[in-house]
Amino acid sequence: MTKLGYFPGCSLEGSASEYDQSSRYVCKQLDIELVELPDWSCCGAHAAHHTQHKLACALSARNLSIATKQGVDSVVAPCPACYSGLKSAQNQLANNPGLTEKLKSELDLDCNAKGEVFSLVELLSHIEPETLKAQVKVDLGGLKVAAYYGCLLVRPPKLVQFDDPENPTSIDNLLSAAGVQMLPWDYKVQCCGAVLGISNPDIQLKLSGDILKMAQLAGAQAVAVACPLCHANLDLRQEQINKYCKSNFNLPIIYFTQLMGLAFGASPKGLGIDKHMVNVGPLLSKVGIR
Amino acid sequence: MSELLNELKQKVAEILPKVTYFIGYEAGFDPLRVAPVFIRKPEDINRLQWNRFCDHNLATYLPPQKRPPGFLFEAGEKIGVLLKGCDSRSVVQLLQEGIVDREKLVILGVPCWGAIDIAKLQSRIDVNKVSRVELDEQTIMVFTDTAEVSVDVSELLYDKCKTCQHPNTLVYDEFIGEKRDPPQDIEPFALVTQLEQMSLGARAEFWEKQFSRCIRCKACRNVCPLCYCQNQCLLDSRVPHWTKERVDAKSNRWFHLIRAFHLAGRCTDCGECARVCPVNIPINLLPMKMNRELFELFGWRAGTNEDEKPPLMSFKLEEEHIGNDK
Amino acid sequence: MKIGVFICHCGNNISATVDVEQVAQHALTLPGVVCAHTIPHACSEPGQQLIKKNIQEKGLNRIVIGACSPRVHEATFKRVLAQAGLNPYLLEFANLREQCSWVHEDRQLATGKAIDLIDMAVNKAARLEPLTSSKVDVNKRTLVIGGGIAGIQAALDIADSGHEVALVEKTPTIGGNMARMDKVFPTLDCSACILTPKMVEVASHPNVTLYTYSEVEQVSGFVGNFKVKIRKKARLVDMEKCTGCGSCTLKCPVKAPSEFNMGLDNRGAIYIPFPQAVPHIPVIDKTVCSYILKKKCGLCQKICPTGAIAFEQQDELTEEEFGAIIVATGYELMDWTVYGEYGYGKYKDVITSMQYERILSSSGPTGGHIKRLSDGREPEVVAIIACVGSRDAARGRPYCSSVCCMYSAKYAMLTREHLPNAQVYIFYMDIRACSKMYEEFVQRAQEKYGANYVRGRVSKIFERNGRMVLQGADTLLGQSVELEADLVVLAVGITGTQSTIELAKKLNISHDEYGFLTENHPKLRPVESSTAGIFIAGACQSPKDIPLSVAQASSAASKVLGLISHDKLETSPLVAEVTILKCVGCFRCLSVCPFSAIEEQVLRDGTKVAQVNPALCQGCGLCSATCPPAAIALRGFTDDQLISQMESLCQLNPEL
Ligand SMILES: Cc1cc2nc3c(=O)[nH]c(=O)nc-3n(C[C@H](O)[C@H](O)[C@H](O)COP(=O)(O)OP(=O)(O)OC[C@H]3O[C@@H](n4cnc5c(N)ncnc54)[C@H](O)[C@@H]3O)c2cc1C
Ligand code: SF4
Ligand code: SF4
Repeated sequence: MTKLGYFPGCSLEGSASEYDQSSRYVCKQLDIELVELPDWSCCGAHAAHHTQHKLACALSARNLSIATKQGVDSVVAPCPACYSGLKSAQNQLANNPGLTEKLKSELDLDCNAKGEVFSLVELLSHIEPETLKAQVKVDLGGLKVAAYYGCLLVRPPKLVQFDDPENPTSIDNLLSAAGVQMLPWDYKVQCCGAVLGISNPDIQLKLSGDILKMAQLAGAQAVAVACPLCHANLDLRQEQINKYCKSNFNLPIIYFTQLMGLAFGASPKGLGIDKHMVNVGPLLSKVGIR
Repeated sequence: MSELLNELKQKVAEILPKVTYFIGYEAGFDPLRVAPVFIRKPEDINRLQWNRFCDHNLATYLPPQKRPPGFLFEAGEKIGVLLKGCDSRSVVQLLQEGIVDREKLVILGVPCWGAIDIAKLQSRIDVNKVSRVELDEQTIMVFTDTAEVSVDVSELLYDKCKTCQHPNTLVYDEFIGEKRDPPQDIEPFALVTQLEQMSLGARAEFWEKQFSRCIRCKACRNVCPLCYCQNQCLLDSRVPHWTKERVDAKSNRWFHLIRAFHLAGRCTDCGECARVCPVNIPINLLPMKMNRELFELFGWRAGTNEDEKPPLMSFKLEEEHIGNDK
Repeated sequence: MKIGVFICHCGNNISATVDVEQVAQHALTLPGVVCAHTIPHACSEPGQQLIKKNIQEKGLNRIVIGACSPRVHEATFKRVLAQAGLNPYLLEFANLREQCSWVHEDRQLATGKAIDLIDMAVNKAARLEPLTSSKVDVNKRTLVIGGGIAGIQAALDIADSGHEVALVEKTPTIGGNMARMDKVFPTLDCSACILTPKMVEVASHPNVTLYTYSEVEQVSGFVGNFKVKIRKKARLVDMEKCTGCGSCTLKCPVKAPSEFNMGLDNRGAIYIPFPQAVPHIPVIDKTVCSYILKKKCGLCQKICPTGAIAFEQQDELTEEEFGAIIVATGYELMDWTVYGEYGYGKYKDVITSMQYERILSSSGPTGGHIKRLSDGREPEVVAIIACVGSRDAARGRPYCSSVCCMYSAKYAMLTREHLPNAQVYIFYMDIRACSKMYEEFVQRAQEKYGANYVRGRVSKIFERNGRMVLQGADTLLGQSVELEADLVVLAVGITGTQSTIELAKKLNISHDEYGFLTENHPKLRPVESSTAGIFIAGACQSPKDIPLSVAQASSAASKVLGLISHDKLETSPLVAEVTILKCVGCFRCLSVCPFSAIEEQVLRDGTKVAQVNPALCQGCGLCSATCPPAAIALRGFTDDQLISQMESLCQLNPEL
């Protein structure tokens, strides 16, 4: 059994609780013990590093120190934004020798961030495909899915050092091992508009619409995602997209962990699939899941 | 020990016909001391000694530049020599510098458990009045007419022996006895590291004091197997005039620093310079410091790898660890 | 000892910051100094006269000059000494300008430093010895490495002046990159029409020995006397017997990507790179030939009417001597597949500029018809992306490749000439067209040929419905744009080559991190390398177009002709010298000398000592820094001279 610190982050406590549920389920099936960091705090999200880099770093440094205290070597964060924050804090602490002391003297923060930081995709990618295949109980071979990675999961490449920044394949590999038909397409890392959905929705609706259009063109019946914000932009706002782009998409947007969970035999409800705005039910019935 | 000695004598008897002389150790002026001996005749073989007091680095007698007349030899002649692990490092370095010719050496190798530093006995007994010594693997008993003392040998070892990673001779023609397993987890530059833990001021003061005690007898240089420039030594030179002949802390400092630079990456940590210093200056720490620098820059330790080219004896357009900070 | 000190105002370059009078007054107090003067411009005619007059009238025998950098005027003042009858090496030069007045503001401190510098110079001058140089013969033959347009031009210029040249080319034919081009800016004349006659001329010139499919293996020696080992790689075809009929190339069953056509089509294992290749003789690629690999086939051997196929042929090494060397090894395209956003090279319809040259060429793989590589369709929209691998610090290519703006405009014209109905878009950052007729050329592309220039970078290329979609920004409109194109041409940046770097190491000349050779002075010595007698020309020095490459080639040729017009060369006396009495024969000097200038010398008593070959020694001083007993010293920079300088520096200056 592998044991890791688990940093769910705010989204997974709220709007993306199904990502949390499914992530925990998949890890359990794969013999990975997730120890939720006690008293973790927000990673600061966009707000922190747009206001002050040190603040952003301090928030994540605090969470990493908790992990060290907890005695776990590494931390996994499913949300790419949390992951990016943790990873860059860890990187800055390692490469900027004065920083630890600065945080201590200015914020009275003892940081002792030893372990590694993984995104959930990266963590699961270390598992042999054969091990994954051994878990598969339900055949999802009828599902044609496009994997959408978004901006932060594989970038910036120098920091992340995982997968290809322009044409990533890690989610495709995981889901292929889970038996899903994965489609090649060109919009894997195009921006979905991120938080512009709130401040400047026109841009976000166009960008997210482009992604859905390309996925459809590639023949996808659903899009697999690994980010709560991408999910919200593509799923929650799909109706608005349709209005703005004069389209009529009806494309289910599913967390990759939910698809893995389904393949491992969990019930759709147990994975929170019923929480999505675009109804996944009809698609699942096509492959015989209800 | 006595078995080893017997074996040694036997081997020397075998090789003596092939060599002009064999360099080993013989008993010294009292039971605590040994002295180097040059054996030329079979009847002298019995003079040989091998024990825990054999501290001299016999490699010192090998560079032709350092040999006195009468010890030079004709083409085709060979020298036999007994070398401990540390001493053999000097020979490796001399070979790499092209100073000695491997063909002309017959080397006998031995395992070594570390040599006894007589200075460390002084506080327990008057080492100049010793009448008898009894020695076994672990303990040494020393007697004078009025006193006696028994000490654990490990307490008396030279500092250099405690950081030695080469208990067996590295290059040899024949090995006597069984090889020892090299000790693990040794920090070879521990002595320098310790010294560097002093503050800069304290360290400066330490060396200033040492240099002011130096009487410039040049024994350190003369005993060093790698200081073979002899009369041409830069430190004796008037043109160019690098050091003053005056004996004061300032001139002495130059003397020792220049010597340390000339030994950078060449010194094989045999510690002879410190051993022979009549005023007990740990002068081997200066070249050792340079050795650590070379180790960190080039991964180089003089005398430990026969096949590599000494870094300061070669020219490369680019060095892996220098000037690549970007 | 009679030392004269001369302090230059250098207009007010020095005197504005340094109180030159005070420096001169101070100099007068130094031992041995008999006169000290300040001069407004020491290098001017009156300045030189003043120095000469003082030497002659006061009988000065050591001269200290405090002025600019010795790089600028040391030679001038050495000449002055010689004219006044003094040995020129009795001069000591203190740099009061670059190393003092120019870099300081505080007059008092700068004056103090100038005084220190003069102190040091006077102290060293008192220990200078007269030195004399020796003379060596100059070999009149020249080696040109690289047979592109630059190498060809240089070889022809030298050969035409009646001197012998050897031209060494790595590939089976000369011509270089220019041979790949269809039409060349700024005149759009056909590349082959202007290049091939030169290729033929150089090959048949009585003064030129041509080594194709050959490489320089080893270089030793020095200016006027280089010894060069040349490896003639085995062509496996007997050049004497072969008539160049080419039947063998038609029958060879093996297929390998054609280097000349940038991998757009295949060639055989035996091939002639292109129809106008010089020499027009095939070569067998040993890495793919079935006969070489499996001892099967041998078809070419059966077909060849003259029995020229020689499978048993071996590489040949020849050693030749030259007085001068010109390096003209050119460039290649940088590896653009690092651009993941452009698909890492996976889209067939995204091609490089050099591939487009081949597609445009009537002798190219498509016979000069513009076609898509994916489906053979004629493109309706052609997009050109400039600065792929240029001016992109993030990809490690901060420099401008200098020719892409121009050839992009060329492509707009040529594309429209081939396909009048096609649309051409050029994504650019700035348009750089700064030579004669260049701006007009670009204007013509826009106005007459209707090229659509879009200012901005393309951030992504992907495929949609069989077409290539370009997403990017139009920074003039301030909008993001999306363009569907049928063919995308990447104007890939130019880089120096690994082969040039390796060669530079053999030649001991410097290069930059991109593989371009470094000139000795960017303004004043643009074709000299860092080593005397070795010159550089063409795109191996920096990205450049054909007119500049040719101009530089002719300039290098004239430098060579200047050099070999002398029968003898003076060598610098500033070389290392061994004091035999002090040498202990450790030969550390020998092992560190980068120029192999040190040899073993056996004395009569059998002791071995070091000895310097003054012709090879470059005066780098490594040996003297290495020698433990200071037995080897660099003349003009002996330990004693340097220590005397340090000693005066360490003396506290009472005036400060
Ligand atoms: C796509 C493109 C289009 C261009 N279009 C134009 C144009 O229209 N007009 C214009 O003026 N310029 C143009 N240029 C620039 C032009 O190609 C160069 O200015 C010119 O080719 C430089 O010539 P060169 O002889 O210096 O180098 P190269 O042409 O590169 O020749 C170098 C030669 O040296 C040989 N060589 C390399 N290494 C060795 C070695 N170690 N030993 C022996 N031989 C070696 C090579 O095989 C080659 O034959 C263009 C460039 C590009 C990339
Ligand atoms: S380094 Fe010095 S001593 Fe050694 S061989 Fe060369 S000149 Fe002689
Ligand atoms: S100065 Fe010495 S090391 Fe340098 S080139 Fe001359 S001989 Fe060689």
